[in-house]
Amino acid sequence: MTATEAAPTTDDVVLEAENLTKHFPVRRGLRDVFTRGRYAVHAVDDVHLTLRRGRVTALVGESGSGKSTVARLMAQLYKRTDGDIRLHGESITVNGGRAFRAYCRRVQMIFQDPFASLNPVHTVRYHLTRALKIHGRAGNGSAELEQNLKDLLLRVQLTPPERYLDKFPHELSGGQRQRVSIARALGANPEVLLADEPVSMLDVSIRLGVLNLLRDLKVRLNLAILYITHDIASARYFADETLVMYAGRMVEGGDSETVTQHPAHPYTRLLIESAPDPDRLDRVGDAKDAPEDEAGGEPPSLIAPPTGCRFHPRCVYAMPKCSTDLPPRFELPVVDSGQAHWAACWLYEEGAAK
Amino acid sequence: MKAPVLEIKNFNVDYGLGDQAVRAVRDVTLTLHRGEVLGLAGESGSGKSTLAYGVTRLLPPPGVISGGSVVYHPPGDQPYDVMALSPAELRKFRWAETSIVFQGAMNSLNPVHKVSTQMLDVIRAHEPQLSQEARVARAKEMLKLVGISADRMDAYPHQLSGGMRQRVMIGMALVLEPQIVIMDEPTTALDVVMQRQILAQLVELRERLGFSVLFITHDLSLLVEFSDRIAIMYGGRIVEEAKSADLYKDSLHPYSEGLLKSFPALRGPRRELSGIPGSPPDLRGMPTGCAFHPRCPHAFDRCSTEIPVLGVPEARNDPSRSVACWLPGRVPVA
Repeated sequence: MTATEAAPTTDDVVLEAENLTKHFPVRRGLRDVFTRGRYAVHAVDDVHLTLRRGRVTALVGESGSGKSTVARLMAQLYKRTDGDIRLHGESITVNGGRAFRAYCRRVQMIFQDPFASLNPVHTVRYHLTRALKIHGRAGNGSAELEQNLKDLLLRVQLTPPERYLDKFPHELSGGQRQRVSIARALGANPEVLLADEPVSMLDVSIRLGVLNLLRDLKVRLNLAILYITHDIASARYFADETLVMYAGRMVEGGDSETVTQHPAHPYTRLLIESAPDPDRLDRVGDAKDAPEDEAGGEPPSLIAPPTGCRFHPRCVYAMPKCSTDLPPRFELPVVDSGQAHWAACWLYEEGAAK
Repeated sequence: MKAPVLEIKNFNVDYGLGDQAVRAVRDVTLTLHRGEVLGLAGESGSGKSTLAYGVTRLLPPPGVISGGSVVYHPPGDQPYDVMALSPAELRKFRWAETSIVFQGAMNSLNPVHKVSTQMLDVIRAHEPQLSQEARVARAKEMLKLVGISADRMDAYPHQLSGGMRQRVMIGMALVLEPQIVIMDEPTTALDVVMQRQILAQLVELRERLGFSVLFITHDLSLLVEFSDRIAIMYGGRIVEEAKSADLYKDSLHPYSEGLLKSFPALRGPRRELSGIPGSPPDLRGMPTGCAFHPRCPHAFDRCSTEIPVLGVPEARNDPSRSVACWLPGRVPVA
């Protein structure tokens, strides 16, 4: 496992996000025209994210927590409201066109649903050829193109490649389709893969195959991968670093093993408590088993997010301070792995290193 | 062992007719006992939803029930075959005896009607003798049971959150106090926190009202924690059936074993997992013999020629479990 590798240096940083913020304006009804108020969905607020070469960073959160928005911002599919995205230390803002293509060449995205992300009227050959041609990697002549296509399919373990090249998406199973979309992303020879729930639409028995493939690619091609998921157990399995998002803000981050084994933020704890666990002796429905959650599992409205810590209405440890002041990141004492671990929670104000 | 409430015998479902027919459910025999939660797990295309819809005769064409019987045991009355019911009898049977919470139940509510309208409709259709006040009281009571305050009765579905809509659906399924509730992936669209709350509530309600649950999902780790017994389907057949603790600790079929190993653990040592190689079978061209043999690490000659029979395995003299596999020790006792 890569968790034991030496601490990465700053040279490895490929893609960075600082203070990343995205607000979606809410359409104003006739009633609001005469009022002053301008409403916006605070989808992502003040997110810091660093993707390093050869490392997988997982972004975990409930639906609606803004994790997919982060991926789309990083892919420059949305314009950010505020903050900065840096590729190799260089601030990048792309408004489509040539610059966008150049950016895409280095940062590729894999989408959740392989049934929707492949065009049903085109073959695998067409999808991959297009990716290669657009990014100028098709080579000279048809023989070279053919070879490049086969290499791509071999990389995603679709063997023999001849059997898959002329298939239509409907002739492939879900796992094979997702492999084709990974191959298409690799066609650009990217440095960063943004994987937005790449396995959640797949059958359980083949999910691990795809995750293991991504990990294998990470090692072989030295890719930086952002793995977005709602399944914290798979983040533990697959990612080196795990970040937890709640209602558009990051609440905890650190080495995957530390975050899942010693969760600090009350939200991360609730998330881990709630995950199904066959080894648990007492079963669902036992009173002591129920995780404490005061607001009945409802994430807040993002149009008018709670002041202070966004988790405070649901938090059992909430203090008066939590509802007024936004908690900064507090560094936590390192437990075992020697990796940084932080949480944005006032509970850790005193014990924090800083 | 408890008394059975639903006995499914040699159940077969086809999609299409004649040569083109695809058999989605093959020879399924399964018994649901009173007051238990029976989990039905399998990949997409394994026939688990088709089985549930077939059993309740809700299968839309081109689905055809091509054989088998489903015997329902009403409390304190003679058992009867659901497949032989006339349309009028069926209408009475549905919802009052067996109700379903559908996949993506959040979207099964009618968006243009209030929750109260939809709920009162059900009661009016099945118990027309009740007065309006009694109906409203019943609906309110049911909503309270599933954790929704009665003043949300007049809300439209879009005014409720996903979890609340799901609770309303569960409440509607229970409003006539059926004996059997079939839940088809009821929590897949929900977050884990909400999922746990709803399941905890369901367990509590089951203790209070005493219904049986047939719980369909692909999430085996959830089932192990939540259900009493688990049946695993693969390629339209049940390949293993056991008490959930037995299945988790000592699964006999290589597919169940593979499925259990497909879930990364949140606690305990971090293990290298492999999932199951290959992809689920295509129902149009099922492998000969055991449907799992092309993906099975232990397959041998017999697996590709003969279909294994579901039965009590030789090695475990335990009538509560059964498996369909040719591996030594798993062959059914004669």
